[in-house]
Amino acid sequence: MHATQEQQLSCGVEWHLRANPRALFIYNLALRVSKTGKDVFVMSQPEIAASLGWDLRTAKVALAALLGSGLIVRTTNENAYCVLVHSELVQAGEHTCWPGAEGSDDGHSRSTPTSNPL
Amino acid sequence: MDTAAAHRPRIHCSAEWHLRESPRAIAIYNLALRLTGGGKREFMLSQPQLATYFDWDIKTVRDAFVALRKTGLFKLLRGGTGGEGQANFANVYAVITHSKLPKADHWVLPKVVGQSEQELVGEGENGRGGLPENGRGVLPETGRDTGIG
Repeated sequence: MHATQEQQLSCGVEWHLRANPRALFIYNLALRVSKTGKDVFVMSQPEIAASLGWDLRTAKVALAALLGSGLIVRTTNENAYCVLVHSELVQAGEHTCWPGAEGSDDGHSRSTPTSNPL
Repeated sequence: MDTAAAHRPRIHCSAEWHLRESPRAIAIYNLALRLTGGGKREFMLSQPQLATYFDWDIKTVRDAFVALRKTGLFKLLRGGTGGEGQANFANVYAVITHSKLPKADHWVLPKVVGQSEQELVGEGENGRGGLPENGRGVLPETGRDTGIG
């Protein structure tokens, strides 16, 4: 059998949060609460920690990673955040995306044959 | 009404809860849901590919796959054969959405008087809990959040 199928690998929020995947838990929570970024995500750090069953320090580190990624932006309220989706992050142009996507048709993804793993 | 309480989300079971011991697994699951259109297509990326993509070591990726299979969120469909005989040819997985996991495996909040079990065990489809599986959240490739820039 010779496989001919290909999977389209592309940049996404998980790539931006690869150094601290725990931040994805907060991001997914923030997306749900904010209705995919339509509302502001309001939650204190202790509440985030309690919601996810983490200690406060773990929550703080993950939240810092998430803020650093640009996927959430703190508002004037210390506990309120605007939540960005990946396409908005790209539009903002302040963060680098997965370099493997460079040079592809859409500039953001590439086809990777599964028969030729990296 | 307490403002904080008003904003506090209702907690429901979700894929994150099942993968709470393996944060890297949730990253792979996020990616898999995005690439497969919410589990509609097969997921075919080798572990070395993923290790390169995320810049993680291969053992980390293997451990994450073990977690994904143990939770039932990944189901092996076909082994990595073919592909000119390369040893690390990608296995093919079905990406299982949270709503399709057995209810018995779900986390259930302590029951509150007046609340039905349906209210307590959340599902992704209605937007109340879990990873978005219907195009309404972080992963879908349709709607406002494409996840792909």
